[in-house]
Amino acid sequence: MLRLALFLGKIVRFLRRRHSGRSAGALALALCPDFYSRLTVEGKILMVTGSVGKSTVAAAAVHMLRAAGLRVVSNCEDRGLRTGTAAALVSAADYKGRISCDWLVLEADGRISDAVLSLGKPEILLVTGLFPHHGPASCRSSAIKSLIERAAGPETRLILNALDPGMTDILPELPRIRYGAAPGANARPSMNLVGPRTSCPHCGGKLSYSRVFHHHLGEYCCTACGTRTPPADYLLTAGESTSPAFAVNGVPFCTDLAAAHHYLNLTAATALVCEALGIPVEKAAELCADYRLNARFYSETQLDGRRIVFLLCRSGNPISFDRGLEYVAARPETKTVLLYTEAAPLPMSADISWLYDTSFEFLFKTAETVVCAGDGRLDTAARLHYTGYKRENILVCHDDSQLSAMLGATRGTLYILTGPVAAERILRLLQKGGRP
Amino acid sequence: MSIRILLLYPEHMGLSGDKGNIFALRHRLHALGLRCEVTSASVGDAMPFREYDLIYAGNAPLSGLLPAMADMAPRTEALRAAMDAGRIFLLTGSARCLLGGDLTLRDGTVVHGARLLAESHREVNRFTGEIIATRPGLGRTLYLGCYDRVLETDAASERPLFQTVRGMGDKPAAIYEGVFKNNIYATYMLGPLLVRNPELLEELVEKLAGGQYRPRGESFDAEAKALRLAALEKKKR
Repeated sequence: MLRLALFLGKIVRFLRRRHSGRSAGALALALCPDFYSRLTVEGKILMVTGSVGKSTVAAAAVHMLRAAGLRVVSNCEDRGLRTGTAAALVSAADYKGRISCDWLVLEADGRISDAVLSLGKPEILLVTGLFPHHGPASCRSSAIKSLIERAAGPETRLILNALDPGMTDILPELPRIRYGAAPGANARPSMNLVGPRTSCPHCGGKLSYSRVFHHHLGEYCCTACGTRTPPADYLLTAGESTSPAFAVNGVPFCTDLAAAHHYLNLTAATALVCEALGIPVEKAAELCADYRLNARFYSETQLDGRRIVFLLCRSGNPISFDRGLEYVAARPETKTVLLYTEAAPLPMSADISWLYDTSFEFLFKTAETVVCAGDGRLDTAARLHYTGYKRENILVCHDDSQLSAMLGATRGTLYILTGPVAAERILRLLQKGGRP
Repeated sequence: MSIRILLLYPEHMGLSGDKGNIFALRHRLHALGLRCEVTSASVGDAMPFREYDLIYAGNAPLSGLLPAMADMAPRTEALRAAMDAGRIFLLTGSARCLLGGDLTLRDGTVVHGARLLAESHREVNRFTGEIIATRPGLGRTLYLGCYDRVLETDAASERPLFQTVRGMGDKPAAIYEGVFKNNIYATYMLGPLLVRNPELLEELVEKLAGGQYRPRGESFDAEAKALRLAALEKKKR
């Protein structure tokens, strides 16, 4: 059945090559329920996990490894971790189920099954951050910690985010290195509604912060037991939200997206590649030179002379959405923002809680007009209204076919914040409807 | 006129979008020309409940709930005085345990609440889902909410806040959910309850604003709820 699953999966993959590989993965898993246990990986495994940022870190690491001339297989290039992982392995495997590569880079969270973990123990396991309670259940710290415990082997090396106090008690018996950001690497004060953890994971004492980085990260110190931010082996030493340049351990990097969270993710990817290959940061900077964000995360296009920027922001995930909002807020030009929000999956499809953990306050006074569309349009409009937006500056699109006309009446660069599936649909609508 | 709101244990509780309730209250009170002052209080802080018009606590996982319960348990008399003085308490999600009786954890440990409400709680397997409910004796208006909890409750002798039409009550198979006593509104519905249910927001704002209350006009909240109810109706057909 494995051969049939691989054969048909590869055909589906080819026929739907312009789309995501999910259907190929779903087909393989349906035809061969023990699909993963029948595969053999002839290469080393790198695993990237965490509540947020793992896709970006894994994609950057894959780029750098390929730039070094290595054969890399990864699940970070397909949408949907369950079926996307199967789809990536369908493509990479031969008909005997052998996956020949130098490195298998696995992006993982609570959706990754034990069957996938049975492919092998990771050589290096990188953890981007642990969020105690927010966002999708598969990305919460309990789900990620459980995954780390199941995935790591006795020889696994850990790469941890030094700025996350939740990491201090992860598998203390394993060797680890850390990455972080120096003070000044993110000069903007945090506007997030959701703050970092307040109690020490060691003793339950109160954590105090000398600075907060995004939501959950920062320079911390426990007032009871003295646990504090450990030194970072890979340190983001510069990087402002309006400049495309940053530095790791003083070595300059250049990227296509001026956003502080992006720099920290690339610092993590640099740590991963340097540790995996045993190369210095200077070499990683060379490998990273032509790295561009995957269009799934960020893309720009011109439609009838208007600049349209798409940013991946997943509905239901305040961490993901906040980073998009922060990025848009830092752009100085005249702009319109389209927030296309979708309903949460069942059984919590009416759960709008995430909107009130998401800092839409970033947008207030920085975007003249905001257009709300998608299933959650009115909930999003209500949330924006509570930030101080007047009703006349919030346009609600009840019918997607009217979206193009509604956007046509707005000004400036159009920023679209939504998930990848909706983004494709919106771009098609805009192309069909003419100038937005 | 200034309305004072006391936000309890913000670093432990209110991790499920519960801030939405404060945003909604503040926004409505401002629209009525009232000042709204929100003060936070945490473990070990003085909590002069009677000095506040509304006391609010939001949902938390057990790790956040337990220290808050331990801090709240000895404050029964101050809480009772505030309740008797008609102060409004709004407790969403697991925060309802703060004013309840004992919480029995899975390992048999018993954690005491402030015992202002005659209810007891038990740690059980996780339940998630949506609730559609009415208010007992208050007409056919539907109230919407979600729950994500590891607790069930016996509150047979208290007046319920909601009667479920769909979704779980205080425990599996129970049709009643929450407690409505004096001006205490306690429910397992988590997150921005007042945004989801503008009728409840208006009820609280009317109590807080007194003679200065004016009904509000169009609102996105109300439109969102109407859209959701229409979708539910369509699904039913």
